[in-house]
Amino acid sequence: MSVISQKMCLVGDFGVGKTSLIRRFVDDQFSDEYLSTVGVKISRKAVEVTLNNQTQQKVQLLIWDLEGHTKFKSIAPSYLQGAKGALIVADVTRPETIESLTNHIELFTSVNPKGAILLALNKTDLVEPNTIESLTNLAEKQASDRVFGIYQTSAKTGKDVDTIFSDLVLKMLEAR
Amino acid sequence: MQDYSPEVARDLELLRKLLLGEETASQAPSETIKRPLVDNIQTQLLDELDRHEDMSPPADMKVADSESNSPTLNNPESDREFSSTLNNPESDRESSPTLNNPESDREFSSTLNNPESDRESSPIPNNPESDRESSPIPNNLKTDRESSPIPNNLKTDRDFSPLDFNELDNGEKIAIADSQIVPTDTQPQNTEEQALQQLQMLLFGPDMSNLEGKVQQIEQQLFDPDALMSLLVPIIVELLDRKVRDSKEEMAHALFPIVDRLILERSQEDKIAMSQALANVIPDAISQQIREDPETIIQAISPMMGGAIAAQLHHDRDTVISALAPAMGRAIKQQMESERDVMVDALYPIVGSTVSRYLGEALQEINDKVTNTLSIQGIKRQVVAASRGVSTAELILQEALPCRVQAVFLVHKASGLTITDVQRLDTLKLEPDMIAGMLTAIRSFVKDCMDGGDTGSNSELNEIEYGDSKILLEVAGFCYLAVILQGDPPRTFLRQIRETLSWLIQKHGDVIENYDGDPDTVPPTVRSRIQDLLEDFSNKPKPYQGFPWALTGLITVILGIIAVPGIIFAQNQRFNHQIETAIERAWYDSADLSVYNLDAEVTGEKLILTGRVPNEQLRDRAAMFTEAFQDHRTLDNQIVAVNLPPDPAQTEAEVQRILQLVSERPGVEISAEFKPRFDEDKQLQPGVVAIAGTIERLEDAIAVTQAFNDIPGVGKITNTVKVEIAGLDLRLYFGIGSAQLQPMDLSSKIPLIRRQLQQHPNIKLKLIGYSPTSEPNGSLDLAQKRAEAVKNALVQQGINPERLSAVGQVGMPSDVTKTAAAWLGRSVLLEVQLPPLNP
Ligand SMILES: Nc1nc2c(ncn2[C@@H]2O[C@H](COP(=O)(O)OP(=O)(O)OP(=O)(O)O)[C@@H](O)[C@H]2O)c(=O)[nH]1
Ligand SMILES: [Mg+2]
Repeated sequence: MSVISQKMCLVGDFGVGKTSLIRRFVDDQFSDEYLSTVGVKISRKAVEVTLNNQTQQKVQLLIWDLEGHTKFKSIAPSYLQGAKGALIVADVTRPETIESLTNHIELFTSVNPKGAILLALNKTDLVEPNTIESLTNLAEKQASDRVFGIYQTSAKTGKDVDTIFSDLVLKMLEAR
Repeated sequence: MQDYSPEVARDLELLRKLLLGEETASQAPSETIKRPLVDNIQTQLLDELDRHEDMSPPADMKVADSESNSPTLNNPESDREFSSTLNNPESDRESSPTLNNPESDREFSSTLNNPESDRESSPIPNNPESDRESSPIPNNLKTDRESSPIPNNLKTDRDFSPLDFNELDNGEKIAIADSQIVPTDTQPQNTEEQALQQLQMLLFGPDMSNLEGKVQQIEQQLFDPDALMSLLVPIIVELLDRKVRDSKEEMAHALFPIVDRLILERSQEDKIAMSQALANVIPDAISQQIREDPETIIQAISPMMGGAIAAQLHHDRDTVISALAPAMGRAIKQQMESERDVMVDALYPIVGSTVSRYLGEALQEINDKVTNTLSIQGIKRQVVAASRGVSTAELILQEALPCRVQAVFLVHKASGLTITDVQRLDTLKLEPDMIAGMLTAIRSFVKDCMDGGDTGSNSELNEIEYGDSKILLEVAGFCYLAVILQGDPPRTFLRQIRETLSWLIQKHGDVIENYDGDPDTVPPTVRSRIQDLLEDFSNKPKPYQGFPWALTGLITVILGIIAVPGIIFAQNQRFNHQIETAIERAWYDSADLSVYNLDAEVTGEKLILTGRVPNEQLRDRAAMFTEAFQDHRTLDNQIVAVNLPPDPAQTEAEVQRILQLVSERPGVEISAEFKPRFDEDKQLQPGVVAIAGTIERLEDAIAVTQAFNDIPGVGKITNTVKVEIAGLDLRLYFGIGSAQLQPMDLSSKIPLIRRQLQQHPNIKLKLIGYSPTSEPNGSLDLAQKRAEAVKNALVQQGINPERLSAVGQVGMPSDVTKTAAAWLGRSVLLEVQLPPLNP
């Protein structure tokens, strides 16, 4: 069994914590400092997943951290090309970032119609659980049929970070 | 009823007024009234006809006539059209004589021929309409087809001959027919009569006596199929025309489901007629279907598209070409826009080679010019040009500077995944995935910035430089090659990259396009081809093979001129330094010298080489690399060969000397050949001496082998020498078909062999059994068994079985001629195998 390479993207508005999620997943580190990503940053992590048929598969995961979407600048679709999956991130402290999920979902699906999407509602350590509940409902409304799940994550505490990444890898491999 | 077109509704209204007057019109829906009345009129017409019947041949006969004539009808398709438009399935099946009756048809047609009455006031236009609403045309046609290919109206004619009609009460019959369409009508008789009169007035004018004459005329026409046809055609045409005009969609819709079968059946009867008849509606029917269900049409047509086009190309190429030509440009353009990558991949291999062929020709031309310039006339000009030539020389020298390819990545263009990567082993390993990803991102970024997101643009990022390293990017449709190298690559290398990419696209375009991260899907040839790019280039001491010689010659001349005193010292220095770098790069680039720290120092007169290498060959090889740059300078090779290694040439000479020496011994008749050996890195390895022939004494054999083995630079001996040890040159013979040792052999030869083996404990024995092809029941198996038998016998006498090997061979021993006695072939031979030498 050989290692297969897979590309995935992190998409979302600026400052929602894309870079932080990757940093938590790849290096298991977190920083409160905000260094906005410019252009693209690619990270890599080797993971091993158990497929549905109980076989193990080694995956070289190439994680494209795209710079956040702003009012003035949307992300370049060409960066999304060839990605089998995307983690679309929103910030629970800024509901407007949840509202723009639709745009990100549509953009990604238009470039990769078969790509798998998981939604991450990030920074859940900063708000009350019941707020998260209603925000999740809001996010649910925006989900398309390519969205396979909504996760309440925190890059700071690490909550659901590994889960969301490994679930996405599974979905990506299923879509192959 | 509600689907009447306004036009028809108006017609109806008019008719209703005519027939019933204003008051009743408001009480009953027009259509419930219309039909019985129309039918009534038609019935009356029938009555008229019946009266004429007495004078005409029997009804059965005439119908049979027209039927039997039908295949020869002038206009068979109008029959079909007629039936399809006019026939009402209900009335068909039942009895409606009104519509099917040829007489009334005739009446209609004659009326229809009158253009004025046609439009406004005639009841005829209502007919197709009422047909439409009461009987969908498809059903009608289906009934037609299913029952018989004979036009329906004719058939009905036969079934319901005018004779039958006579037996029925017309009023009743109509009532029956009507009951299936509308509730039975209960109009007062007198109103009907009035209306009839009005209608008659309208139809035939005030002169009613005319009618009889007309009916008679019709009657006559009926007997003549041609006349009948000419009678029917206009109305059919008109009806069809009207139908098509009124409700194209509907007509098309109605026809489409059966068009294929209809065409098939009808075309068997009369192809031309069929095509003429259907021509009007088919386009609509098809376009309707295309609108409604394009998939079906595509599926129906697609299997034969290829064949159809191919056939047409074969049949009439020009038509196809002229048909396609206007669309081609646009098609390509559109394809370029929508699927640019596919197009690029399709064109890349040809465009590349076309351009490079063109360039090759151009280069040849330049070379020719240079060759001409080197003529005596040109020399003068050349000297003048020499000063300008300096820069050219530098340029070419720069090209000659060895360049080192560090890594080559084949990258999936969209995702940035590495399809394959090759890297030099002696440098730091690069992370292909990360680099490819970043390069892809950079490419996207640059493209987005420069083209403003215009994906149609063809400009690409070709090169990224950093320090003296650079990354060349050669892009095709779905992938690109990233070549990471140091120094300046010669132009030929770029061509090589392009050739490789062309090859990749042509051979494995699909795999590359659909690459999804699984390296197992990449054929190994892809990797090896890219590996070539790495190896080929880095092992090539002279990258510009096939470079135009005249041009090179010119450069040499220029270099010579440059070296002439008068060129400023600084430039000389710079030049010398460039030569030094060039030489060092050449060494570095060669497989065998790259690992040694060698130095080249160029002064005005001298070329000094320093460093340490493990052997003399490498020392000379290092000097060899400098030849291209040596020019007028004297070479001072100060490179030290640390451990004098075996020089293949010397080893070879020594092997021959030993051979001569040992050949002087009695009983030694051998040949020896030396082969130098290199490992994968082209490093010289101890060579191989192959000895063959015969040596009588085992001692001699061992001594000779050892002598060769001791020659410096010899690492291995392959020995096929036959040793003839006394007592081991004997043979054992067998009976026909037998592998049984003969008792004599067992008691004498076997102990002899055993003794020899015990005396020479180092040798091994190969036992070769033979079974001649002429031997009855002879076989390889038997031969093998014979050898085995000898082996077993020896083992039983205490010989280690490991020293004995038994093989079988069909045929005779090589020294036994075919004419020799057969028993000589049924034998086992012994072959002495020399012990391995201690190196
Ligand atoms: N409390 C908390 N803070 C977070 C979390 N994730 C990210 N942050 C903070 O949010 C800020 C932005 O995080 P980034 O990861 O840089 O955001 P980004 O989406 O990469 O931003 P851009 O690169 O500009 O698009 C940083 O200051 C992080 O420390 C989280 O889960 N909890
Ligand atoms: Mg970031």
